[in-house]
Amino acid sequence: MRSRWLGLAALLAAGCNEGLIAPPPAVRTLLRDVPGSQGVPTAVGTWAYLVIPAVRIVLDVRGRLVGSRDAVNEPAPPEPGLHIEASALVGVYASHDRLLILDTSGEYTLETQEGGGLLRQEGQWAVEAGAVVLRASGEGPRRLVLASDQGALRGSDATFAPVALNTTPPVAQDSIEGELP
Amino acid sequence: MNRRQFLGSAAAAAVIATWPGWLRRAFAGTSPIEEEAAALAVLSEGYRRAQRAGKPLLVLVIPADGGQKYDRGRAFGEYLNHGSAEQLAPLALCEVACAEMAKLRRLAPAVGEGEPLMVLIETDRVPARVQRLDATLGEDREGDWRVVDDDPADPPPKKKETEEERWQRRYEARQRRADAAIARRIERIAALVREAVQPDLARLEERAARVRAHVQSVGSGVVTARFEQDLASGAEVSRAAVEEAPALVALAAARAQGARREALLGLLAHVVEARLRRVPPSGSRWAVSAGCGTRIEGETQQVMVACGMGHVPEKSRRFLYFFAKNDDL
Repeated sequence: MRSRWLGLAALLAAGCNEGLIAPPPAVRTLLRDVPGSQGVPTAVGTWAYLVIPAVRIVLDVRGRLVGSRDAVNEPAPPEPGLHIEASALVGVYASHDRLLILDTSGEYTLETQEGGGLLRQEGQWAVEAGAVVLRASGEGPRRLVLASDQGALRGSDATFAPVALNTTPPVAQDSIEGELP
Repeated sequence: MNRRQFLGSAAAAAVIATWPGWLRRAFAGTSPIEEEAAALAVLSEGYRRAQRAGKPLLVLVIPADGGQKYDRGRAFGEYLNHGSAEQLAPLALCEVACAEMAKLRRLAPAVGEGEPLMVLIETDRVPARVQRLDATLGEDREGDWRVVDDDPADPPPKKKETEEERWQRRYEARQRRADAAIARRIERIAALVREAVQPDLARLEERAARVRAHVQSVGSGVVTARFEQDLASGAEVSRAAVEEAPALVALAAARAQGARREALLGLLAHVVEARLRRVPPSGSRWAVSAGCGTRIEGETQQVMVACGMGHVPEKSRRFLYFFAKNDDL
């Protein structure tokens, strides 16, 4: 009996000590945005997570939901030393199921294929700290970095390549009528 | 149906009968995203080319109405094929593409509503400066040859002339009227482009400064420091340098006079010839029609319809063939 209690105490001590074992991801996600959440709240949260199955289930589910959303919005690191001119980024980009238009007014449209139709999100875009930042009302900012000299924009969940024509008009030499003076 | 409606429909039917293979390939998207991307690719690529070259993007607006597509395509064809060096030179300072307003608004919402003839989009900043270039070309339809036999504008018959002589006189009179109408259309379009691209020396100097900065940033090996000296001194310059820095040539032309000015304008016009006359502006095709059938240049699959639409003046025969996915003719 005593050895069981000692084992449980050791487990709790280990779980609550960030120096030995970091708090579980679900707890870190929960407390990440709470100011002053280091120390006691982390220890209590970790303890509750480890000891109470219902807390563990709830935090795991929440962590997966929030974690997947954050993975989309999490900014990708910009290329070091890269200077980007906003006018050079105007254009239409596509990933496999999304279309991104950065227009000349500083607005953007992001269309996502949903079934047979398209879901549209609109907002403003700007170049900040070497990356394109998309801002829409009610959404967190989304950062895209210039991925290569081919002009692709890379986010945490997708890479948008500039769209290109798939046909090239042939040169017609036989019907040129006008003559320059 | 009045004459104008009939002529418009006949002209439209003459140029659009079926989708050729290249058009199907151009819109070969299999998903809504791919289709949308393909539809916007002309503009997106055109803007990028312009921005990288330090130039504005000039968009020739494709009307949504099928009948008007032919009229505009013909007017632009007359300008590009028969404009003088002075009329064509400002085009060398632009990247040119053709697009419908619905698509253009997606990339440049500031273009507004309606269907101007052209839109000029500066590519040096965001938000971009956008100019709508518009003029009416329609009243000059009476000067072309798609008219009835008894045109009141024809010269009256003379007493002692044969039917053949009368026909010849009427033919020559119509040809003069047609040429005059075409010249007016060309000048109207040329004036719009000139006023937007280089309205005065100050704007031309701005464009030249942008080109200098661009050349410096890309480290061009073609446009050297001597280029502007050569332009000013009358020395020979390479065609590649003219293509890369047309604003510098236009600025030198604006400061020159006489034969030197003509020569510099000629250099710019040759750039236009290579980029827009030998190959069509992006988003269009060159096509030829003399009144019976239409041949799209560079295509083996031809459109052959609407014989009997009448005589087409020689300067109107080669025209820009505009296409759109949802043509309902």
